[in-house]
Amino acid sequence: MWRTQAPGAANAAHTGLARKIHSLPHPAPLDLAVNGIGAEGDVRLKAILFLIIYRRIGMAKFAACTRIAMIAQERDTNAGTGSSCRFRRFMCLGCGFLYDEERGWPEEGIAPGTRWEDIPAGWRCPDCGTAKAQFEMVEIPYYQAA
Amino acid sequence: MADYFVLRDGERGHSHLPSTGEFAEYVAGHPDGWIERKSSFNFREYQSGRSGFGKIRVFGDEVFSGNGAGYNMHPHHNFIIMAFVLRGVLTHINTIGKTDMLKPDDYYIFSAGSGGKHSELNIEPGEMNAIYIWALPGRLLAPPSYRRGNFDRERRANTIAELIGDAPGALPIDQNLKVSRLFSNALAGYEYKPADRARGVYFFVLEGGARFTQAELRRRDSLGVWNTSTIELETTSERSDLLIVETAL
Repeated sequence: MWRTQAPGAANAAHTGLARKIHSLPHPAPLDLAVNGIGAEGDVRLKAILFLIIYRRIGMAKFAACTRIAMIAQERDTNAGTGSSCRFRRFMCLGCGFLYDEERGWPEEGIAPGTRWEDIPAGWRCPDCGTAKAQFEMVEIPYYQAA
Repeated sequence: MADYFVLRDGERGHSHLPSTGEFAEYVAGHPDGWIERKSSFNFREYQSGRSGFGKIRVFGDEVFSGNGAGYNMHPHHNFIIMAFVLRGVLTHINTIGKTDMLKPDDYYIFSAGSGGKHSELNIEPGEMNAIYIWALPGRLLAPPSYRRGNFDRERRANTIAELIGDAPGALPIDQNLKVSRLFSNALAGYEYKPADRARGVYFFVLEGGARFTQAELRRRDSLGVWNTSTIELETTSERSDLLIVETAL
């Protein structure tokens, strides 16, 4: 899916967590931490330890960032308007045909994830020919069998 | 203070759809067949009015000329389509597996859900008049369904009778909406109480007339009211017949 990256608005809510990540020690000062071990100047051991620690911190940072993106995306999917991330649904007012941005309309080559505004203005309802302008955005959940 | 709008008979959208020319595929019937459609809200070629009211998107007052005039088989999804026959006989064929003939005071509720097709025809020689209401569904792509009911005007006269909604005997609907009918055969006063103030109520005069605090309505006039707990009305004709739709806003 494209445009699933959380935009500024969604990230703003997580600035606390983001600040924590940015405040994690930069790998460079870790060089000092291995000074004791490398008293004899074992450059190779020092380099290996440096790499292990660097990677661990790197992984943690990566995982935290992914989590932020996931939280933001979840929030956008479940909650209200205001984010360009959330997929929207449009109903034809001529017959009830549904266009869901998340599903697209592959029958006519409209890929899943295609935004409503990226569909040409001249596009018409595949079922009844109603003009694109006579679709309405709806915030209605899908039916789920009990 | 209640909010409201008044829509007079002549202010509705008006379409004449002949069964020839550009509408030939859409409209069934002889070459001289036709459909007259009066729309309370924007629908198809009529786009200069209100877009709807609450969950209602279509409120159509339609007349089919006789001998097979009507709508050829066509697809639907999602919309909950209700029809209330006022005059003549409506033959309704749908892909849910029902072929139905509805007479005056019969009504149906067809929830198109994940997809269905239907054809609506007047196969009698005289005209057929029905009110069509389309509502947004509570859930998308639900299993399609079709139910029909009858309004017993003698037994249920002089009271606000719920036809579609959660009252006993009413046909169920997956939406915060209900449809009632008031057939009054004497001059009288009535009170309509919506479930709460946040709901809107649309009164449409089928026959006769009614006086509200907001306006006096004559045949085929209508009134939408919201932000009020009680709506009072008095009928202004010996025989008055109203269709009432209460909807979440």
